[in-house]
Amino acid sequence: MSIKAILNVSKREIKEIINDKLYLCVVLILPLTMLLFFTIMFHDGAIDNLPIAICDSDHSTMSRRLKYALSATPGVEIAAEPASINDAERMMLEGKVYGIVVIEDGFESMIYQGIPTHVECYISGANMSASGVVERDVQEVVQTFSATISASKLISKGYSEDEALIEVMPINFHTNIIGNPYLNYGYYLAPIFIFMGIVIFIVTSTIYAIGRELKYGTTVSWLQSANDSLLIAMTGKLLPIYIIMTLIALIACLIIFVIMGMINAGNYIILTLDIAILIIAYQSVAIFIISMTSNLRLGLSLGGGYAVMAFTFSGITFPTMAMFSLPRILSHIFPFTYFSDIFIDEVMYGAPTRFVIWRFMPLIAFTLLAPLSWHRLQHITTIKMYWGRD
Amino acid sequence: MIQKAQIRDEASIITLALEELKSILSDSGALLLIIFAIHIYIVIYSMAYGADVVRDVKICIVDDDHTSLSRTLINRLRSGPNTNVCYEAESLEMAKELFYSHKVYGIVYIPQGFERETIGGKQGDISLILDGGHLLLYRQVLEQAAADILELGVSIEIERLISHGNSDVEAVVEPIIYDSHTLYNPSLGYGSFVMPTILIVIIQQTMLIGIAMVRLRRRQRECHTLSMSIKITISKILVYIALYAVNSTIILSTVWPIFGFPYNGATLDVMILLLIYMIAAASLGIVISYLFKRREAPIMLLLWTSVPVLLLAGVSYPREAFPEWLYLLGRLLPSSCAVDSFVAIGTMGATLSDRLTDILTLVVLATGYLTIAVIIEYRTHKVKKIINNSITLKKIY
Repeated sequence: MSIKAILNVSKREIKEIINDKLYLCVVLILPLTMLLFFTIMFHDGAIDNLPIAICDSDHSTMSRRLKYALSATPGVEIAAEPASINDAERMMLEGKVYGIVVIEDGFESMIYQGIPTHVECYISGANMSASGVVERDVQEVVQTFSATISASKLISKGYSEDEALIEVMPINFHTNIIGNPYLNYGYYLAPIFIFMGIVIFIVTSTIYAIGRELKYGTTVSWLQSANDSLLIAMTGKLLPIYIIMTLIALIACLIIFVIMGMINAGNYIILTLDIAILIIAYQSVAIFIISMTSNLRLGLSLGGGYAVMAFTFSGITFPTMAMFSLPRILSHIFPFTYFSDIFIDEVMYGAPTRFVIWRFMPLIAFTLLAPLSWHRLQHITTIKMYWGRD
Repeated sequence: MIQKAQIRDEASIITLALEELKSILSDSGALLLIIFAIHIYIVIYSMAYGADVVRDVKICIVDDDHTSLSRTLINRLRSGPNTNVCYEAESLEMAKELFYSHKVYGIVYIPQGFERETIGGKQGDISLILDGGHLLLYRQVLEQAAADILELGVSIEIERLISHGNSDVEAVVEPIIYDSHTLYNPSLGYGSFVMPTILIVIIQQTMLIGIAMVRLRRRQRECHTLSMSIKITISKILVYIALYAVNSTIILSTVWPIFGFPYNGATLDVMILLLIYMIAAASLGIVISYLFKRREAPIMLLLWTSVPVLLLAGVSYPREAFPEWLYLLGRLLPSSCAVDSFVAIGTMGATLSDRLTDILTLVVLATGYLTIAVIIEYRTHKVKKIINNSITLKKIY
């Protein structure tokens, strides 16, 4: 019986969604638009062919070989060979190159004479995501090139090829990058950006769903459709939004795991739970915000600002552990922080369930905000002075 | 009636601007968004990113070798600034448990036989287990560990070469010395890198939502002539530029020095750039404001765009990684050009002439959006006037 009552309210809500263009936009049309945007933006994910400039003052066979090695590496592309370092810096200021490699005059002859020579690499700290790739690739190429020369010198002294290589590099190391073996930049950034976008829509649509009843003074007919039970009225109202947002999240997963080809190292049950509770948590936060403000526009401003900020505090780009203590404490007031921790642990690291499961506790704690605002909610939905505010 | 309309047409730009300013100041929502939001956001983001550099990343070492060489390596790792050896685990499994519990962000594994193989003419092999979920942590641990391992390797190589009777050790060991220099943001601080972009994006986004909110608040002046609609548009733009100029001056002169974000720009160049940018963004705001009918609409329909707007600027995610046509489409947003040029001029110390393409694009955008704004302003009211007239006609008949 109570289920029937809930569905009754949901039916009313779905009608409202279809008739109110703004509502339809924020629940369905814009989230889908955003997913399309992210698909186009992230479907490649690899950062290739970043332009760099090379100042070659030596113009020798050896410097040409180094340039050839640089152009063969996938991350960078030699975009220009300016005559002087000043010209090269100009190009950097103009945004044409991310890095400058300088090969000094006498490069070849110094190598033959056994005098150490220098290769300088200048990167721009003003664009860290690109310069990180440039720095890594240039360093690798130059060091490998240097090691090859060392080895060939030893070979000319009578060492065998294997002996020479071991001699040049007595300690080797290899890396095992947990969660992102090929260090795909898109894999690292896209999921969190996509779910961040979905969170914005969860919050705004939930605040709007409740706030519009207050603004347009329709709470009476809303409660009537639920036999005057706020619990039924609220459940029936939020159910359609919940289902649509779950479907949006499902499409997001398709984009991440099928189109972008990211591999889920953990299990899908944990991921599903993570998403399911994330939506309830943010709907609860939204209920809390609109009941405290009892003003649609103020609620949207505060809720929106709060939702957007979560990305920074999730610690994806700049790790929470490195933040000052105040922002580190602040990071705990966003359900998104816990969601992204679970997502990374489960999907990327494939951590055993026992390490992940307790992280659900704080995420679940946020759902308590809904019952906490219940008293206030009853108050504002029944007393006229809270209606019609703009 | 005719007289009244004429009086309205004669309202000066200053009167109109004051009217706009009054409606901003008298509405708490608009006030919050246009005047306070930018400061709140910038302070919170600066605090979050203010630590700038990641140091002392906690790592764990698993030493299965227990030799003097493995101790030497561990001591090197301990003394590095980027990492902090917090644990020495008995086994790789235990180390991974520490990793999964977020107690460490990287593991260095020294296998059994490491010293024997390194010293005995073979190659010792170290495993680095790194965090692919947080690139900054990954980078710090890798850089520190790789440098320490390579240095140790070089010292062993030198010893060995000398013991084998080689004379020109130096040239064999390191024929090419690689030097890397980071310009404009030498410590590679994350806040220094990302805050200029955030500032530019916040200016545009709060302007777009704010202008629409204010327009929907009050009854608009009726404008019957083109000159009046030009006046109205210009007056609005003047108000927003004035407010945002004050806001950004306060931010650049307080928040930037407090958090030590680099600023190398020539004041005049930065001012000219921001001025053109603000004209473009405010004009776009006026154009967009006509799309909305209800006061809650702007925030609901525009808030989410902050994420795509940020990405299209090509900072968090380099432009080389997404399709060229999407990048070009993004240039229609004033923020995209402004981010590039503000980073170059403000942070890197470029001049306006270095960024001529961006500036020209911004000028074209500003002119374009301004023209569209004037036309829309004129046409909307003209249509309204015709509708009003037809209503009066109906009433008469």
